Amino acid sequence: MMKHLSLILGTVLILIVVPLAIPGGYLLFDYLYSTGLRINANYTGGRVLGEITDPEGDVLLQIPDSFHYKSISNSLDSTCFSVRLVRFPFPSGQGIENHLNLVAEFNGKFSDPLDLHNGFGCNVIHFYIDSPYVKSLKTNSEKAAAITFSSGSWDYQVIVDGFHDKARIYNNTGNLIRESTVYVREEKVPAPGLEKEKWQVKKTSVIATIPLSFSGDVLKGEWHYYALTGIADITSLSFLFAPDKTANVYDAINYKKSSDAEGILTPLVIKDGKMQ
Amino acid sequence: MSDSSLLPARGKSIQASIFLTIFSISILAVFALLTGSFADSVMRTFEIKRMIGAVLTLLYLGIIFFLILKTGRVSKWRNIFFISYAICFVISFLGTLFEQRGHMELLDSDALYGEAPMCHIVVPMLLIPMILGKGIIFPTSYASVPTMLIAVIIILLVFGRGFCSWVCFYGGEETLFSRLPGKKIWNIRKPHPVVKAFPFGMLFFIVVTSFLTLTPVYCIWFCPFKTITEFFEINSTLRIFQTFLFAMLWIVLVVVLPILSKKRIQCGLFCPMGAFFSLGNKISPFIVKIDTSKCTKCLQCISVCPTFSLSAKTIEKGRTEITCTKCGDCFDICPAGAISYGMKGSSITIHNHPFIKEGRKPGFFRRMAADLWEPGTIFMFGIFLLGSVLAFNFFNNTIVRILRLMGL
Ligand code: SF4
Ligand code: SF4
Ligand code: SF4
Repeated sequence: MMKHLSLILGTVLILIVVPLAIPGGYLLFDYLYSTGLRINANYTGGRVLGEITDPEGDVLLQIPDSFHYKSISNSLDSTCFSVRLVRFPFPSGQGIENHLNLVAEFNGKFSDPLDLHNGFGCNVIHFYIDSPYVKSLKTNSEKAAAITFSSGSWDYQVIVDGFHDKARIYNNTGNLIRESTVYVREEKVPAPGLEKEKWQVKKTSVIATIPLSFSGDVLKGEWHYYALTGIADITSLSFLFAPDKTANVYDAINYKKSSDAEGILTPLVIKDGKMQ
Repeated sequence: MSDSSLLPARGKSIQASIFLTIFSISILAVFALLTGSFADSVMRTFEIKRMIGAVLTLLYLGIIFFLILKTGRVSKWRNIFFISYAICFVISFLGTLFEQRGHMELLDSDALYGEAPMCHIVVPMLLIPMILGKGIIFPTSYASVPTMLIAVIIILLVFGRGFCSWVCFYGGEETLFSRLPGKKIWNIRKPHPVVKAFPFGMLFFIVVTSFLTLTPVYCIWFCPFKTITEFFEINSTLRIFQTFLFAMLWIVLVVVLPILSKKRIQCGLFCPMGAFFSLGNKISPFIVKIDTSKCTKCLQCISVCPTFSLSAKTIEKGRTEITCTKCGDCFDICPAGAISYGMKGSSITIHNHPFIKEGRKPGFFRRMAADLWEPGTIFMFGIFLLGSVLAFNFFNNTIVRILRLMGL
């Protein structure tokens, strides 16, 4: 009898224990999730330092704001603007530089009539960064000469459009000082009757990356970030393509808009790594 | 005492083979219809090519399993399954990648947004950071982690390193290259103990460094199988070096050395996951037994073992080394029929069965019972079914692609 016992054990293992892996996977999922276990932030697009969501209205500024463009507002009106930090704590050969992600999300898919590199042809996104790090690098005489604003000052303007592979980073005198990587990610959902490769795009995220080696320590001081989304208007080719030369973001965008922009374009304020 | 001459030398009776094949394939069919991407596509669209693929896959797997049982030539038919599984995995994986991405590179954005497919080799690297740091250090979707975790743990405990000859979709590549026709040019008789211990050292190294850096070190630097699946985008000098390293590891360890030596060099002397599953051999109740009373010490089994899991010393003790993948290659070669599957704590094997009485020819049902109620049958039923469940979608997907290529 004894020699049959281990065969019985083996049979039980295979017929009962192995199939338990299926419900066990779901139970383990729930359990691990409840313990707070997550994919490391480095691998989820970074740790969110701050975000503004706007699923319905128009908190995040979109231009042009005339009613002509409202019908295509889905792909013009950003639903979320977030700033995320991707920082690998130790050298590992990962090959991904520590960086800041500036993320603008949109409902649905961008139109891409010209089949451009980034997968969109009409949209343009401007991010403005007010950086205490840049200010800290200024000499005393530069600081004395600088015009200060109660709100809306900026040091970097990051322009993302479908016509350039990279994000272009300008300073506030209009000089291109750096190019950085841009990602466009489409979140797809199943569409009835279609193959996986033809799934519908539910959300498009445009991500401009800023290497920390360039930006300085973003967890130190009070940083302001702005996101402005719009359309590359073919009737006025320079519109939204050219960098701004004025050091106040509201002045900069006022010439792109008919109305006063202050109060509509909300800054994302992050002080010492915490959203204010 | 049982009389082994009354049992077929290796194969099982026709009644047991047919019964077990139908039983296994029915379970597989139900499983395929209820879970996975096949079920998913059937729910959304009734595509005739997918149905043809499913039927052909079930038929193929059924024939293979029947032949394993009936002929008893575990090595031959398992290898055919294992190699075809690996080929279909590559065709299906790369086909899907090219359709969806247009290339094999895992872009940094995909990595950062957790879109790398989960792979079993990642599991040992995840464990310590998961327990101590509440973080998963692999860029994949959250849902796939617990599923893979529980699958690996159960396989480890139940089958031990049997995974490496029946379930792993990489192992078949090496089996393919080690089985290509041609002479054995490099006869590795007995690797140095340090060389044999290398996978365990590698396992220790990647577990520790993954914890210290909070990144999956093996995936970033060493995994040879990225060469034919997907790899990080090559966008810097560092990445060029890393790509060169893993591609060379694939060419040397998976292709060239197996062709020259007829051994699974990567699996036997490099893969840390193989070492991890070897630890499971300590727990798994299923073992490979050598009947020392029958063994003639011809040592042919040592020369044929693809993962260096036999030595004169272990043969004398009637067992294999901890690294045995339960592949069955040694069963087929042994002229004395001394090697078979067994179970810890039981003397029952296919050659030594209490249901078969000395001097009496067993009846239909007695023979069937003896064939079904033995360690090898129980083990192979479990592990072949597991391998088939995982392989099903790869076979199906490959057949669908071939049908599409043919314009059907
Ligand atoms: S040793 Fe590694 S690659 Fe080889 S079969 Fe096992 S897990 Fe797969
Ligand atoms: S092949 Fe068989 S007889 Fe020869 S050494 Fe191995 S176990 Fe013994
Ligand atoms: S000892 Fe036999 S069953 Fe184990 S790996 Fe070697 S050949 Fe395969």
